[in-house]
Amino acid sequence: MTNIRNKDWFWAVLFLLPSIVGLAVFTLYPLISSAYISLTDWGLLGDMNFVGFDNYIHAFKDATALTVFSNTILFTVVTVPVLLALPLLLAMALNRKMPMTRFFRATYFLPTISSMVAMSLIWQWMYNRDFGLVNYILSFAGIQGPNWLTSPFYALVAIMIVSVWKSLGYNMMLFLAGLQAIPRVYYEAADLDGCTGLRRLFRITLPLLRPTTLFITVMSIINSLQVFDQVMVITGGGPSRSSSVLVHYIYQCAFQYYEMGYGCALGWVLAIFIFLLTMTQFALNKEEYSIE
Amino acid sequence: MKRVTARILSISLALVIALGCFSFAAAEEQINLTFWGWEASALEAQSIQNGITAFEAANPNIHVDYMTVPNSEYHTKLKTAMASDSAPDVFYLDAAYTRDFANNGLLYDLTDVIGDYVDMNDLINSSIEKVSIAGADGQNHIYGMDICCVGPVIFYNKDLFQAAGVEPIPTTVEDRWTWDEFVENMKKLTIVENGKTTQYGTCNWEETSSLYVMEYMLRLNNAKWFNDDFTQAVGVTSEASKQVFEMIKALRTEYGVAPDPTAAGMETGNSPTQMFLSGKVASIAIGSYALQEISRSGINYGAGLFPVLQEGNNDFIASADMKAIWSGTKNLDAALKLLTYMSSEDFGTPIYKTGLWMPSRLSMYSEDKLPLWFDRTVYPEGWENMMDMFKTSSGKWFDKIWNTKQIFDAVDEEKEAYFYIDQDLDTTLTNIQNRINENLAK
Repeated sequence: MTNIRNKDWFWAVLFLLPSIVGLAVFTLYPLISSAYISLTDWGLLGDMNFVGFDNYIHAFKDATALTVFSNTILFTVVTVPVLLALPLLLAMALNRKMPMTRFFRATYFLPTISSMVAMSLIWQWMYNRDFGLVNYILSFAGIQGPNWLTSPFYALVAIMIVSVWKSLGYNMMLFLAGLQAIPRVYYEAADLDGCTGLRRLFRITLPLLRPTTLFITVMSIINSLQVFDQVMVITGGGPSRSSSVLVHYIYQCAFQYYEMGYGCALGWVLAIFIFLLTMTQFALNKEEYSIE
Repeated sequence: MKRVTARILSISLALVIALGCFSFAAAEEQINLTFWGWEASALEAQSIQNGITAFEAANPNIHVDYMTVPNSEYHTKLKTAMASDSAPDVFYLDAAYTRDFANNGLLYDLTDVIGDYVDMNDLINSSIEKVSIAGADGQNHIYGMDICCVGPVIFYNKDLFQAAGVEPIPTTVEDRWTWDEFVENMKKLTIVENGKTTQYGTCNWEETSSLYVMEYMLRLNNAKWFNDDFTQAVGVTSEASKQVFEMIKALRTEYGVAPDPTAAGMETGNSPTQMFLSGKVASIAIGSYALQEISRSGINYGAGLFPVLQEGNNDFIASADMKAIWSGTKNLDAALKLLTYMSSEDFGTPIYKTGLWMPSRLSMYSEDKLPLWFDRTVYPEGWENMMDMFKTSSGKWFDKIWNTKQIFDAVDEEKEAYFYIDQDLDTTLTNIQNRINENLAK
């Protein structure tokens, strides 16, 4: 019996080894290193001097950090609900039997598999005030489009639109899978009971989609708090930091301003914030989880 | 017979061993250098590759691995490579970051050796300012060498100027327009149809502070932003600075002769250069490096000087990249050879001919050397009148400071707040001065 156990252990460890090594080298080591660096004044070059929690204290006093943090929260608060509602509506529409369903599903999913950087460059063209496609289309409705990327208000809105466009298809596919996993018998029973329309939606569809909705909510919040590519390419955080977000600032501190210690501290503040937020969501949905 | 055979064998063996040792020695001397640069254009990269090929042919024991890194991330990657002890032996360095690198001991100090390779008396003034950095010992040190310079000019579309009845932009100091004349001419070039502007007079005046336009305008208006040793920002809030900010903003917001940029402070699709090349804008204020792209675009172009802002102020600024050696290089002699080759006329001449660079050696402007690079099909009419400006140019303020990236970002944030968010100008300039000083004090 002991031999068999030993053998099992051997094979288990052998098969797990690549993952364990990968996790240790590419996740655990950077995690521990960054935690340590966040307690130093290391500037990428030169010596590391231990400064305790100075970087963390500075993070809460730094006006730029507070600006980018509030931008990040605003971005998340606006995009996450949209990234729940729109994909759900699309998924419900495309879950019906109608012509060209596959074409529409593929079309909506296309941005997900496209390069964010390449797409951001194209959006940048489209946002030009005088010669861009977005304002050209708006002009048909008699709307004088704004200067999207130099307006402190619209620059962040422009980033939000691109982010929603990019993630819409992915969330739609998840909802679609969730919808198709709902047994038809519930709807048949509802039909027999005369339950139709919105009541079906709120009494059957949405409750049974809760695990999917929770997953999409958690992932959308995490992705929104970590938004970077589109900000970096489309606005560079401008004008005057009005579209800069936390990860963009972390990148600037660590790799452009060579304040690696401070950059790591900001990274840990974000990580802890995301962790707490995710735990809160799981706690709020505890009942759902215990059923699952 | 046996003895003869033995002798022949011995000699052969000795020869084989000698040859083997020789080849081994030759193989041992084979040196691999790495060279990094950013790619301003595919043509520049090709010119550099051609230069490297010629260098390798002249130095068969040296092989050069040339790598280009996008300009926007270039210095970040360079410093990261240095931190991981894998930096290139020789590399392009934006002069604005020289002090950041030198202060960290990352650049090989060329002060004592460069004189053996380069005639320092042949350098134009702005180049001397650019390559000489005050060290901690109070002495000037040379941490890099250049072969080129770039200065601010206004390129214009001749066809659009003719159609609007506007005279070409002057190329001589004496004939320069006043700012009011410039604005009036730009108004003539701006076309509005059905309430929509279909052609603008000019663009790029709100360019990022890391480039040329803003600093040049400030200096033309007698503004001064730093003390003599560049340890402190002073005078940013002066009346001269205010006037420049107001003049530039008014082009777009008051006169409507300049377009809104697609995005603030960054190179974008629909960039000012692209708008100029596509005929949507009649003129562009920009570094002379743009000549290479403009000359190949097929448009009918000209170039001229910035308007005069203060009578008697004929100041001109110039800068550009330089090449430097990493202090951690294991191949110093070979690296020196490569650096000095890349700072030679042979290397620079093909690129001068394209218009991307202007020479930073006085001798290249002489009668006998001018025909080597001054291509009339590239350099527009009147360019020769502006050459003295390059020869007598001063270095840029921002090439002499440190924590430069933080300072550029801080200045641009405040500029954008004034240009696009209507932040009060006094607040803007006060913030700029304070934020520069905060970063210089770090």
